[in-house]
Amino acid sequence: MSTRIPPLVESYLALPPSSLVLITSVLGASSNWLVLRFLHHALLKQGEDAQNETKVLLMSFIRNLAFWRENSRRLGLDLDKLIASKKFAFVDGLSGLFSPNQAPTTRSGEILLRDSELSYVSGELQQSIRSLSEGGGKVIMIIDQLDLLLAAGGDQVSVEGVCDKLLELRELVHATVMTVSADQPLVEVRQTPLETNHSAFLLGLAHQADLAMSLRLLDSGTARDVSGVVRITAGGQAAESGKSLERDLLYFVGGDGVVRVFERGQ
Amino acid sequence: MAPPPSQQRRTHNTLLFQRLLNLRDGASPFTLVLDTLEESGASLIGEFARRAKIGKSKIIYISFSTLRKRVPFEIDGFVFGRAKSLSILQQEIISHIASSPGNPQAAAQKYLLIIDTLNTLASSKPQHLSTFLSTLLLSPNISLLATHHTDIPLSHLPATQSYHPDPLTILIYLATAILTIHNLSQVVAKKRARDKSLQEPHFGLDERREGILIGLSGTLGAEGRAEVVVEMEIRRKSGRGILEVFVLAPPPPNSSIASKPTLDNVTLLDDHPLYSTLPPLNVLMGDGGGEGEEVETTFSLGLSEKERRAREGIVLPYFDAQRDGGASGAGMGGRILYEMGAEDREDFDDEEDEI
Repeated sequence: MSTRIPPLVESYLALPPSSLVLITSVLGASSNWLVLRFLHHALLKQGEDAQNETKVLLMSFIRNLAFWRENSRRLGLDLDKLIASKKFAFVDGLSGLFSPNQAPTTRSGEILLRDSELSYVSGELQQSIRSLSEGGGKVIMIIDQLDLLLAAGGDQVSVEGVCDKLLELRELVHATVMTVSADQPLVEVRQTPLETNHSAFLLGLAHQADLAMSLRLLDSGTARDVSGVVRITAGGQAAESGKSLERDLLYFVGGDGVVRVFERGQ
Repeated sequence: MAPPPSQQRRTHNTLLFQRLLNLRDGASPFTLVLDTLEESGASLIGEFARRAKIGKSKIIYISFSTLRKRVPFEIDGFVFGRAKSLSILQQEIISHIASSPGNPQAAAQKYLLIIDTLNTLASSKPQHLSTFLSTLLLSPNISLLATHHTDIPLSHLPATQSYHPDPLTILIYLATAILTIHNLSQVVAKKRARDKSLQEPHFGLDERREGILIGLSGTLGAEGRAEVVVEMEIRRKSGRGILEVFVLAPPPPNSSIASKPTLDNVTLLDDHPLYSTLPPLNVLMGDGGGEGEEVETTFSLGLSEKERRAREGIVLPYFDAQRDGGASGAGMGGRILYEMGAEDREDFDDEEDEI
């Protein structure tokens, strides 16, 4: 099963205590495959010892559970079974965030956000972290595209507010993985409130992160056998030894969900 | 004989920097550290903390973005600054500072307040920033060390605040010492480009390539482990500023004995071996960056050490003519310097005779 994780990436998937990994993506170089590898790495190798068990809370703002279920199945991960055994919980920030009345019904282990109010969102998250960590084990929190909440939440969601809540949540879990878009207009233009807030949020996170994995398209244009480049660098909070990890790797996502990661020229 | 000016500057400025790091008798009440994603100021803060520990100062850490568990050094007090009003925050910080005026020992106790990032305060309460920071400095025994990430923009401000000065401007105005952090390999790469009159390379966000946040700093080989470039500006009471650029290098790992904490080495950037004399490019950029730089021939195009020394020893003639204005003053730059030798004189005389 370990062959499903590209060996070059594997060493980065281990999450030290209280760490924050920031994954940035651009249009055309999506971060889903990397999030799935983090899920796979955390959930598949389970020991018998209940204290050392890893549990995952996944919160996604632009993809629902059906998407994650489908794609994890290709990696040999049965999310429904993991939900039943309380090793995985999903918070859906897509289906009902702005249309609470039309939202589909949910099953246990799946929480549907019905409001974009910040204290409500963090309250729901705290509750699911608590219910996951019952019975011991480490909880890893993965938040997919929290920037949507910042962009769409209106005046009541501020950068400082989101960062405050995020830090509160990070205190509760073992480690955190965040994915945020880093398209050029969202990072550098900084004219409208949306642009400045996104940029402040993203760069603030990068300063707090231990590891930053930035996905981008190939600089020299599209190629048939390369989907993009992942740049792995130490974030602002990394330990001294983190600097030696820095590298650019190419990756290719095949139609069947298989990912190859290789160095230039390989 | 007095030491040469370069030596004097080296001793003087290194001493100033050491005084600053050791928080010697109020060398700087408010030290501002400016860093970016390219090089974090964490190692410099760590060095301050190590030295404060040796100097028996108490360290109080005020966190806006750091988890309690992740503070990389021992601290005496921790204040969580998030989502608190400034007056409550101020009270909490001051409660950590023991104030017993009768006890001379307690009164002499030195404190180092470390703020992990000022960006949060600068965004949320820009108008109270200066008041807040100055109220923390209650006595001359307290030093404040605060980091500001210069690459994070302020989140959007309401229109009423657009007439206030930028918080960073206020911070730079308030600070008594400003330490700007740079990445050593990037500084060296920029200097190499400057020396060849090429355009300086950009790194990270400045590359302006979509999807790149942090530049690859390139490995500097064994000695480039974790050295950082620190640009120091100390403001004296008179208002005179002293500028110098240093390289801060952590002690080699084998020399750290558990009982005795070791300190970082401080050298002037101009004295740093990578900066002053330029190593071949492939050494500098690791194995990947130097490709294609060396022309492949069957001849040896390099110089041996002896040849290099001989080349450096050569004094080209009439150097002074190339200087602006020349040796003998303005307007004489293009003069032909020629002194008649004995042979010339003979020739000259012969010609004269023939005529």
